[in-house]
Amino acid sequence: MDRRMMDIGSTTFQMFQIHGAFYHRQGPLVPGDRKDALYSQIYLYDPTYAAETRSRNAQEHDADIVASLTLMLQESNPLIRIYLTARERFVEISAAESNFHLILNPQLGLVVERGADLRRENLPTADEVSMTLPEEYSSAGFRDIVLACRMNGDDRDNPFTLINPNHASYPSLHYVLLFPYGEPGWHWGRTLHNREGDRQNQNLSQRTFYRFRLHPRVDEPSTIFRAERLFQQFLFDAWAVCDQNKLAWIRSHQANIR
Amino acid sequence: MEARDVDPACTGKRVVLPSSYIGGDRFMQQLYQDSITIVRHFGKLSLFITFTANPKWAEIAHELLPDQTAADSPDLVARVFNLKVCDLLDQIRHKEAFGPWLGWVWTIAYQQCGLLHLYLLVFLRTDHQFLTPYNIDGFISAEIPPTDNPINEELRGIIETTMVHTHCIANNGSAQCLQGLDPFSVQTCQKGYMRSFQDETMINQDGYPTYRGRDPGQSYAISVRRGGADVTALVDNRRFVPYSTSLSLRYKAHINVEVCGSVKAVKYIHKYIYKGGDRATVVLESEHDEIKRYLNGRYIGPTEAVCRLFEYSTHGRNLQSCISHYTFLTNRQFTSQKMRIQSSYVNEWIAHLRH
Repeated sequence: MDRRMMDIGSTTFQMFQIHGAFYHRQGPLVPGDRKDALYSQIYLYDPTYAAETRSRNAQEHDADIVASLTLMLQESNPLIRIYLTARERFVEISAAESNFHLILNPQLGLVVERGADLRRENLPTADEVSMTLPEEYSSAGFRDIVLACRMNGDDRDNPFTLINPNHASYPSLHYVLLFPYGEPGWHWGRTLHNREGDRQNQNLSQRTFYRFRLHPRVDEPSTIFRAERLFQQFLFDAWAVCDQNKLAWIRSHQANIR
Repeated sequence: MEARDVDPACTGKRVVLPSSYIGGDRFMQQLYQDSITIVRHFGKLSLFITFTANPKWAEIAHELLPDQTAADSPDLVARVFNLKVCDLLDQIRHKEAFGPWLGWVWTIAYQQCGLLHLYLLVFLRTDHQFLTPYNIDGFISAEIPPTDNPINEELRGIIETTMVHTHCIANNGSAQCLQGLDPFSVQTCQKGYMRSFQDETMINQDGYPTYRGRDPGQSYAISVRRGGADVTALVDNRRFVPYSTSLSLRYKAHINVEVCGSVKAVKYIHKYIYKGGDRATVVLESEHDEIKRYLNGRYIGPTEAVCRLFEYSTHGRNLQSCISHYTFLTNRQFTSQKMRIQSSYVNEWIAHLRH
């Protein structure tokens, strides 16, 4: 989508088209043999090499800008640190075992999942990110991000893992430059203030959260409002994700509706 | 009811997208039935108003960050337009800008380029319908205003920038109103521009008026954008779209106000507006799943996304007055959930009257 948007002039609004469901795709942590690093793999190299790789992948970009952006992300984005930790752990664990998954759970904790018995073991991660999520939500495994170390023989057809848009890190992984500090997005555990004690429903809905984000504030940087076409895409994305959840609700509550 | 509904293999597998879901098939059907009910109840339409967002509005320009255009801030465009629409509806309903208000059907459409349109059909009380040329001239004009006082000066600036039909000036045939016509030899485009000069407003056989557009003996230079450059074009009263002086002054945007001679305009609103969300492709499958059918190929622009996120109303009709009328007459029970709430309200009211 991003490449196509670059070809079109910037003066008008863009139209977006979606088929079916909405996900962010993520490649394995280490590129396959004789392949250049792509997507999040790039974060794992030192900034100079990462900037070079990026420029090779997209030659129309200004190399200096790419280099400074890469450096900025490496310094400030906690997700990159998590990914680095994940790669180290991969190297350690894979010396002893062969059949395991690394999982980034909604609290941004790294988890080792071994074989089929789903035994979980938390790994230490970067301290900067902390989110509190109720336990009931964290156990819902479909919101985990599964990290794969490298492409296996049987994964070659589908080298990407899917990131559910309801994962708190979805916005910061998908719109890296809009959320350079890895700010968490909406997740099920978010609640509203209840100072007066008169709120019946304390849960913060996804739609309300995005509406809150769409108001410029004096005391916070207006990063997303300066993003032009990327901002348009973000708006569209926000609606699509909310809509997708609404439709999922309708689908699972057919008995109440009819 | 569709053909696949009677297939026994699909029994019990149906997934319904309820009419409360904005943009779904059932929602559109509901709107269609509601507006037909309203037309049946009120009879003839009075006015057909088209209101387009103006990206140059001071409210938008003032809030933009440095070096931004309105396209960089679709949230702002959507929010300002929503406020203006609420104000316009208030003007017509409560301030009675055109006379005593009876009812309306309106909808907001999203153009491919992302600008917002309001289509509004207004029903006015029978004694205020625009039946004589004198009545029409009092509210609607299709001429450039004179420059005799400061207000008219301001109005003139607005009309020159927003209310001139310029699409087919200096155009190589790509304009929508020139489709199927030869751009070099054509005299009038599909929308009827240029018109011929008209000394007095006339009401035609079909009920639609021909607005007054007198020959002033001179033309006005305006600039139109063609291929990225400004071209100066000469226009006169034959190219102005009918507008209302008070609304144009108040909203400083393209507001086309037309008198409706027949109920046929309702067909227009169904054909173009209640057509459902924009679809990119049509996927044919024997799917018994309305949600999946809806999901396949949604097509949405960022302004629409903002409107939907903020849950701005996209359609309006005052069904309430019709429903209370019919419930009162027939005491009919309604089946859909929304209707049940409304009719229980009406029933309580009836019970209150009886006591």
